[in-house]
Amino acid sequence: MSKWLNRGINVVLVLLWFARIISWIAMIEPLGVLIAYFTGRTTTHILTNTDFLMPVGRHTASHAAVASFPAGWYSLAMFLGMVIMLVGALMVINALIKLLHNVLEEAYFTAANVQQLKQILTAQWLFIVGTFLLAVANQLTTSWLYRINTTVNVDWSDVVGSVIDLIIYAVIYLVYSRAVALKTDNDLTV
Amino acid sequence: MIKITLNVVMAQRNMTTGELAKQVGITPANISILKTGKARAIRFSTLEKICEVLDCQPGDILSYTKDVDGSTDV
Repeated sequence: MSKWLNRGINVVLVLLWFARIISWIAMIEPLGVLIAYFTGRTTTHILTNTDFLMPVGRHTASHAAVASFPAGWYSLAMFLGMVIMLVGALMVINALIKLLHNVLEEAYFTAANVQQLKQILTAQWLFIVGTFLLAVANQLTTSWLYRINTTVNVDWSDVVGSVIDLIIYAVIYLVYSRAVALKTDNDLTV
Repeated sequence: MIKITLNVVMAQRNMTTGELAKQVGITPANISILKTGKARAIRFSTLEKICEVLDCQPGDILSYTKDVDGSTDV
């Protein structure tokens, strides 16, 4: 392995280590959504917080719309969506760390790496579910309160993107696992 | 199922794994893989060399049997 590739992988490993810590800390965010709901501040937070932008065309929600905003469903969708996305992110980070460690040891085609790729594939399923829930939550704020979430800026096109990503990762996984099977057969060919 | 009886022929010829590996030109680990039935395939060149070293026929070290559970087969 070249010296620069080795250094590059080590830099990525450090970044992933930080990303893992940040992902764990970010678990506080979904709790904030639940706390806002149980203290009755969900709708007010959406209407007044600078995290939510107003569309140019129409940005005044009627009293009836504000009163009928499904804060419970919004909070549930947002909470579950964020938790699922964070769990998926942690799964990907852990899998990448193990994969890169194996690459550093020049263990390229191993059953362990196949397992890590499978974990990334599983995480992508979680991303699809999480993205869908967040898109539902954001659709509620857009349709009822005319507010667009800029912090968790997920919409329906991101759901489609997640599905396409899943297909790409699935193809990579299938090809790689076949390569490992071929290598195993070759190693056991006398 | 293909049954490997290499160990029988090696015993008859008083040949150790290390000696056979050296003369055939493969590693002792590969000889062990063959003896224990873990091999997925064997090259004709390897089979030819083994038969040459052990002075035997391929049928002396390879035989076909119907599937039997628990046997050392490939």
